Amino acid sequence: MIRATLFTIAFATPAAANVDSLLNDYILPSWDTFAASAATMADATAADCSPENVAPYYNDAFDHWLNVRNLKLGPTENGTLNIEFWPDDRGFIPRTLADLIADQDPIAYDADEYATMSIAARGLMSIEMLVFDDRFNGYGADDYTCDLLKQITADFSAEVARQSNGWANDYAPIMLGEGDGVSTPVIDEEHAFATFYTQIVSGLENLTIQNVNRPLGTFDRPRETRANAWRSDRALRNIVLSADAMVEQAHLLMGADLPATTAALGELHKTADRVTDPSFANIETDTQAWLLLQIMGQNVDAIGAGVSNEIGLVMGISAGFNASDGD
Amino acid sequence: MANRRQFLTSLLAASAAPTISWASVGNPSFIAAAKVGDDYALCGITDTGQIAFQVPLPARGHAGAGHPTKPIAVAFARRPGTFALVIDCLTGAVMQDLTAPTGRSFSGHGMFLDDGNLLLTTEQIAETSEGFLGLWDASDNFKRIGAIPTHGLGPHDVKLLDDGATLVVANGGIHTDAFGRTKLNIETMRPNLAYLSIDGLLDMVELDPELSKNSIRHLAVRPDGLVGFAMQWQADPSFLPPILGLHKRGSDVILAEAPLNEAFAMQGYAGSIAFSGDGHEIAISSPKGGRLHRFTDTGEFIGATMQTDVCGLVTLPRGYMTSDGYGHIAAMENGALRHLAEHPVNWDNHIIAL
Repeated sequence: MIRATLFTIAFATPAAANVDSLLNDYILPSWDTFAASAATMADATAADCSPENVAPYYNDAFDHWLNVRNLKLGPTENGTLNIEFWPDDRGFIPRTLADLIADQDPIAYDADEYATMSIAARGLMSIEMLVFDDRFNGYGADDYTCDLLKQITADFSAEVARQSNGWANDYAPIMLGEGDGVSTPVIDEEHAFATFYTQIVSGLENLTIQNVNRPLGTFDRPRETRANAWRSDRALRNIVLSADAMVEQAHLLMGADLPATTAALGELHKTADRVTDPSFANIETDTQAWLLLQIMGQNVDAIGAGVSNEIGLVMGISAGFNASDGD
Repeated sequence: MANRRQFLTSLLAASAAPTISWASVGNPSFIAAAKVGDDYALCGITDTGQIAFQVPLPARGHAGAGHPTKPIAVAFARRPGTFALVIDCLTGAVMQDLTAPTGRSFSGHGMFLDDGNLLLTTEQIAETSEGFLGLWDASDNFKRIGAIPTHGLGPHDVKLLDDGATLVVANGGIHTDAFGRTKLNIETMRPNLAYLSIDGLLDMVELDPELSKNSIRHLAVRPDGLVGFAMQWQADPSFLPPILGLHKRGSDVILAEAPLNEAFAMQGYAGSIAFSGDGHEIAISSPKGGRLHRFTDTGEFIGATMQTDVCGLVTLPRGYMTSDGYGHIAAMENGALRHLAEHPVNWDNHIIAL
């Protein structure tokens, strides 16, 4: 779940013009290559929907998604779940896919209609379910499931292209201060800087909460099937690549060396190198594996602390009023 | 218990014509608590969103109860309630400072019954969170006259069905520590919807164990006895629980589910609930999600409407009225918001109909 923290901005020094660099040298190219990888997966699936063929394209697309996954802004603010619907504790994904398959639902043959499909049957996690889960991946080229997978990958490609275009054509110009104040807001550099900073800090918080703490559970009760993308053995990889991406974003945003942040990322890599099961399936039986995952959470938190100290403190951005009190 | 019934009957018979009415304080249709600068207030609100009156509160309020005829309101503190103030809305004077019996605290909601002669307050025992409805004789300086168990922990909202005899209580199920809001029993909580008469429990509804962490907190009732209940999920919101239920005695509970992306946006939290003016649909608000969800009276999702920090929600003849933390009051008709007014206040959780 998204942790929304509001930040009060009191810049100690003028914001460097690094928002431009972050957007033009990292975010937009990352969306470009992500969209290309999604299109390649759709083409490859259309040609050969077999799990063996689709798996590497799926992994490539997922890798590219992790470069930008924490940036829940612009077209991605409400679009994240179209790309990756996770967690799914109530099992909406297998239920929805099983229903479609049992009904041989003709929506699999209608691209326009499919764009309105429940997010439980769209995006990376539904592709993962069909390709990697034994309940689904026994299909043949003539089966409905094959056609469904072709539609899901095509829909996914279209959705990633839509968001990529939204970033390039609409959102990036706004964050670069090109809003007209009428149909688009005027965003100054300090606001844009703080916006991206917030996405990095909350992205790191969420990485610990979702990718580490969910499977970690408690020492007595690990929850290995709550790991992110465990079916495709990506649980570990998703943590490391996400952290890599956010640290790179932090560097570009600050336009400076971030020694503590970099050191903390190094520690995460060292811990990750000792993990023997990339799906975390062994944390239930292997105490050492559970402890390593716990240490990875501390490593990610240390990266977050590095970013807070080396960007937030320096730039005078501090966590402020949090509106989340209910009754 | 027979005494209590006789007492209520006698109150009904004795109700006298009011001399000063709500008209004398600007004809409000609603009341709502608000933060005004660094201070707190209880406001009367008209059908068009104007502030009819504004009287100070000593601390942050949560909900209120308006006397059906006289310009008297009871303002309830946020949980754990340190105050329930009976306020003369004409002068702003505190007529009575209600004190919960020793060891009990107010739970944020209450209502007038029997033409305004009886005040009900949701209360809980501080140590155990065991729920009660406190009974106060409004015709005799709000003298404490008794209490009815709510048959659950942490009661919050209470409503009267149109039969005039059946009360429905949202037992939130949460055991909080005696002096604060710290939750002590999330793993074992069992919220329920309890139907009560003045004599005791009539009916109790619990959700499946899978949904036991769904705290039932706020209620809306329709004249035919259909009850809408809004819930607040006390675990990871990515579970995407339903947060609106519909129930009519003698029938099964309907859990209303939004499309998954919309359910995600609500963050497992419904703040207020109301039926539309025609009763054909029901809405919930989520300040955390900055949106309102509308459902049919059979639980089918109709649509979402965005309003940042929206929480207050109440029935208007042609739909609903909404309020938010930025001072806005709007009318919502068929899902479209129509701006009614903006006030220099932060509207708190609820708008209560008079």
